[in-house]
Order: sequence, then C-alpha cells, then structure tokens
Amino acid sequence: MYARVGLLALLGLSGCGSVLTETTSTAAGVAGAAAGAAVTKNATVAAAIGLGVNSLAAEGLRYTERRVHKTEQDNIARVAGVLPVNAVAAWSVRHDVPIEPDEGGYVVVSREFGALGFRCREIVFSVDEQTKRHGLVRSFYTANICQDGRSWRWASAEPATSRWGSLQ
Amino acid sequence: MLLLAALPGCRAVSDVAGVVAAGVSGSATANPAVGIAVGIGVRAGVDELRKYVVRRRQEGEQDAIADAAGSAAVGQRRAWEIRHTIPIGNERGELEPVREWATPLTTCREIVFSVVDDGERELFTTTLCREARGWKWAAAEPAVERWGFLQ
Repeated sequence: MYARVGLLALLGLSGCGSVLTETTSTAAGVAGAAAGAAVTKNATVAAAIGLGVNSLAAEGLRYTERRVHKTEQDNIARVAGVLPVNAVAAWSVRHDVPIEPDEGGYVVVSREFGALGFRCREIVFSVDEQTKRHGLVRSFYTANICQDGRSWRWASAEPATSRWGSLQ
Repeated sequence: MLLLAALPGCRAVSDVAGVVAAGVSGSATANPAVGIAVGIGVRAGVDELRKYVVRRRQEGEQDAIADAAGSAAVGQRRAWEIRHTIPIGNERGELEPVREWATPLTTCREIVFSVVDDGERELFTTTLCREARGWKWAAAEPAVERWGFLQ
C-alpha cells in the first residue's frame, strides 16, 4: 500500500529516473520477498524470489520509459516526414505518463537520401526550453528518419560501443 | 567515492552504498523496512550522483571536441584535447569538419574525429550544430528500438 502511494507520488516527479528505478524494483522486491517468506521459512530462498521480482519490475519500468520516449521520436518523425526539404514546422509532445517532461520545438528537413527500396531524411530539430535564468534556451540536434511502409520512423542507430561506455 | 564514481562502467558503487546504508540504519532501527527505505534513498542518491558526474565529464569531452571543431574550417584538420580536474579519462586526438550545411533553424557540421589512446587510434563521426552558446554536440539519441543495451 505504502509502496503504491510512494510510487504514484514519485511518478509525479519527472527526471529522477534513479529514484523511480530503485523504488519500483525494490518495492516489488520487498513485496516479492514477503510473498516468498509466506511459502518458505528459508530466508535465502525468500530473498532469491525477491531478487527475481526485483529485476522483473526494473524491466517493466524500462519498458515504460522506452515507450514514452518512442512517442516523442515518432512525433518528431511524423512532423518531419511530410515537410518539404528546408521547410520548418513545430513539433510538440505531451506524455500521458509523466516520467519525461512535455517537450516541443521546431524541426527542419535538411537532406533527403535513399536508394532502391528506402527513403530517408536528415533532420535538424530544436528542443525549446523556457528557463528562469536564461529565458528561451534552444538546443539543436540532428537525426535521421526513414520511411517504413507508410510512416516515418527514427532511424539513427546507437553510438559505437567504445563511445557509450561511460554513459550507462 | 568520487574517484570510484568517475570510473566508467562502475555500476557497483550505488549498490555498495545502498547495502552499507541499509546496514547502518538497520543497526539503529529494528524495523528492516525502515532500513530498506533509507537504503533506497541513499542508493538512488548515489546512483544519480554517479550518473551526474559521469555525464558532466562526458559533456566536457564533447564540448572540447565541439569547440575545437567549431574553430576549424571545413577540410581543415586540428588537434583536440580534454584535461579533467580529476586526471582520469584525459583524452586527445585530431578532428576535421567534413561537411557544413545551413538550415533555416541553424548551421550544422559533420565531423570526423580520432581518439588516441596508448598509441592506438580510433575514428568516429558525429554532428555539431551552432547554438546561442557556441557549437554543441548535436547527435540525437538512437531510435528506441536500437538502444536496448544502452540503459
């Protein structure tokens, strides 16, 4: 009960993934350990059941985070997909689950490339943030999108393994 | 702890801190749930701090490369270097802007850069865009379907 109330309260805070990760998985782990203790008196077995539930809950949270972020990528790709090259349009996203902040900005298609069977675009987009100290701060990013059937999707691949080591 | 936290891939730090904190508070209270709650708080705090430190250092390196690449002309090769206050992970190499394109939003560049480590050289490419505060790393995150192993 407390765990659920705590989780809901934490869900309201965006941007603190660590608290969310730790709480989701540990709350589930504690509940799991208690359920385990009910069927076995062996503390080690109960703890092991708790650990299993723990990693499952962490996986569940990661799934939610991915789904929420995919909404944002799909949103930008959809706006950029119908734009002519060098035209600017606004994009914005509102999340149902508030683990990421609602964001918005502008997107422009800078290049179109492709070959037989695929069509891709290079896009430059901004994430506009209204800050108290610096007013409007606009950060720019680049990405590639490709047309997958009828819809445009984010196509940028992950960084080289030798470059992401310290980011995990 | 700071030194430990600076080591890339050192994921055990927060776990160790969590266990230590749970142990310490466990000895002050007989209620294991309170001990666990304190443990979660400390773990999340240390985890967040470790991520923050590591990100700041990586951002420092990205800024060093972006600054150097912003001051070079397209096709011009120059050296880049990052020296951290805590002298772990100092890196250097060369870079060259290979393409520049202007959009109605801003101007961006594609660069090739090398990282030299113990005489071994690795080559990478990335993109930079010009912001109000100068040239910044602009490569956006990978598609969600491709980042499975990144988190």
